[in-house]
Amino acid sequence: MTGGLKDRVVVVTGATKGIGRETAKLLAREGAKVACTGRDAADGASVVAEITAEGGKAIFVPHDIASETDWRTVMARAEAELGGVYGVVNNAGAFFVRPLADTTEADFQGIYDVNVQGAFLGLKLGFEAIARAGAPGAIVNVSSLMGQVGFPGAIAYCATKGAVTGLTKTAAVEGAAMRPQVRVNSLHPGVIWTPMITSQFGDDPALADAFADDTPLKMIGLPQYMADAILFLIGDEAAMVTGVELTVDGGRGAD
Amino acid sequence: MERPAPPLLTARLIGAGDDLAKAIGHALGADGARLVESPADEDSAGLDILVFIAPDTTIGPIAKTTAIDFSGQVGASLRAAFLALQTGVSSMRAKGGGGSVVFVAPPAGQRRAFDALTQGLRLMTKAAALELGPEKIRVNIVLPGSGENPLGRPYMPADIAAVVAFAASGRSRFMTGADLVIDGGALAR
Repeated sequence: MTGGLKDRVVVVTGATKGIGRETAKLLAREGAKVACTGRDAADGASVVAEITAEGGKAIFVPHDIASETDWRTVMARAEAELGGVYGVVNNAGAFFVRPLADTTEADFQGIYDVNVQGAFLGLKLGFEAIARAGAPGAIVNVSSLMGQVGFPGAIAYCATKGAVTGLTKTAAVEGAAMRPQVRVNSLHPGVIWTPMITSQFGDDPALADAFADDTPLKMIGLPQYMADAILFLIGDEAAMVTGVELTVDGGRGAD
Repeated sequence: MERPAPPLLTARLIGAGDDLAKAIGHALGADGARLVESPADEDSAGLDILVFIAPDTTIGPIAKTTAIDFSGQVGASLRAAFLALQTGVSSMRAKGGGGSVVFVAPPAGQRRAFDALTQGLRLMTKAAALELGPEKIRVNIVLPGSGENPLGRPYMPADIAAVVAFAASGRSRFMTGADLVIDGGALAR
């Protein structure tokens, strides 16, 4: 199954690492022209180089997703250098582990700015860009299993990822009423072995084994599994799918 | 970049005959699966994929539902789903484990106030996912809507079949116990 996104322009935020990086590469293999955004220019250059080496088309745009100015620059560069925008993957996110009692107002505001304000701007500016392109589009918001269930020590993260679920459903209904239409869905990953996790918990392989043991499928989640799910949601296989929460978590949430 | 061709998978589809079943069979075939007609055909290869399409019910308001309607429709379909799961899993184990089970709920079952069949299938899916996860047998449920929806798009069998094929395939290898709603945004409102 290659070429399903031929020449469609997709903006992937947080494409320098983890889920975003694998997603940018997979979408490019499927024919998409990818605007990879993120904060680390060296990592951005390397993902663009990997995509280009495989024969794909990509650019890197530096991006603070909480900044509307940055978002406008991202869309302008994507449109100028790649073409009218088909889709956005709102993947970039912040994460920290801190109990309620130790979470400060500043902690909460900081993660809100990235996870909620960032996704809000991605939807708003994404809708505008898709309307300018004049063809139906799709947006995938990367939420979390922690946007569906509570997790001790992650109150701020859970709250912001729950907000992404609400943003998604409202935007889906508004997007369905737009012409051209925009589909909007959320992905809810379980524990995925990425820098986001290892930066908080360390990268000891024994920890990966412990996470796997705690997951019904007895495996650790990998970024490429999430890329497969994002490809499904953003492409035409999901033409009738909008406003849904797709949980891909090895079965953790089924318990 | 070409990926290596995956090995042919063996799939059993229960609920054959109508347009949806035909579309699912076609989508599984396009994804590299070989549909088998009878358990005898599976014996040599074992089973990789089981798709069970639940028949729709005519169950209405509680006051107008008889016990015979309830057991004849809800009870019989849940029992059939359970037997399909049990025999399917046994064929998956026979080939050494691993596999993907996809239940397809009746249209709009999630939206009806009184749909014990859909909710029964959903929780059977989750229970089976937890129990069978360590054997790498995944179990998920596709929940189609029906009628009017925000996208204003008709329910095409091919659209539902594409979602079933994703759930059946290795592209969802980390997904189990999950709901896959396909309803044009109806439940988001």
